[in-house]
Amino acid sequence: MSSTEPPEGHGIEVHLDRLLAERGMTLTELAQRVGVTTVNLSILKNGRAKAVRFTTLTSLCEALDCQPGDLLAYRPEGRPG
Amino acid sequence: MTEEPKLLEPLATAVGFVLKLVIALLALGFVLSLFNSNVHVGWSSGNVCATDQNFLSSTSGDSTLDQMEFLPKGGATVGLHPQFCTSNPSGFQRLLVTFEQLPTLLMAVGSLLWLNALLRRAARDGVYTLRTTAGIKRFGWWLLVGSLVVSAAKAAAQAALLATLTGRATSTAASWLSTWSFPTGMVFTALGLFTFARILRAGAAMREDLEGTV
Repeated sequence: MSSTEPPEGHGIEVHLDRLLAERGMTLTELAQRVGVTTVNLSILKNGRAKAVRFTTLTSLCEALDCQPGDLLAYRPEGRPG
Repeated sequence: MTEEPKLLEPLATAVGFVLKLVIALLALGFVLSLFNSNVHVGWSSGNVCATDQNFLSSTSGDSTLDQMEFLPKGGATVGLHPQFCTSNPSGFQRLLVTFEQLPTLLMAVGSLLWLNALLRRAARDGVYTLRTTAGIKRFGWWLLVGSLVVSAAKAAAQAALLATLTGRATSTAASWLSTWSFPTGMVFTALGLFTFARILRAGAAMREDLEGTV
């Protein structure tokens, strides 16, 4: 399962697609559970988000039963994952 | 984004209204000039006058002033600038009057058109965008350079016109400089626009970050 490539400027990868697949959950379902729009979750999933609110992170961790470290990972820029 | 056009009010409405009014008046003036010989747009007719701002006569009251309405009180003086006029201006003198008035008119109409376009684009694309801030900066440069050029051209035309009416051989740099009035208001408006564009650019960057926040 490939994680989303981080955009330029930071080295944070978002593993939302992997967590969704592991839990058999769709993006729309997750959006309804955490109260964030599908568009915003899609931005997060595709690695186009510039920042994540702690409240959103809390809701995501609750809904996916995971830790922030499961959702986010740091990969130094230019280094293949 | 839907609320952003409201941020441009009341300036957007006022500029749109004034621009339409100015264009209507200019069109009316042009049409009237075709049918009425007394109305001229961009080309002076009748008396051509120039005031010598360098020469100032000061008096505290005499028989001439007694006949005028602005009688000075005791101790007060009246300053008088001579105004030179001719009822039969030459083509060159008319041209100088046109050069004296037309740049100011073009600058004013051009600024209105530019500002109107800038506001419309900002309403369409968004206020907090780098494109809008760049537009504000360009408009600031237009005001800065334009006002300096227009005031210099106006002063040159005034000085040259005065030279033709006073019998001075030529208009000198000194007479031009004394006629020139520095466009303080416009220059500070332009500087204000540069600063406003910088502030708005920081706002645009913050807005961009906010839109990328989930």
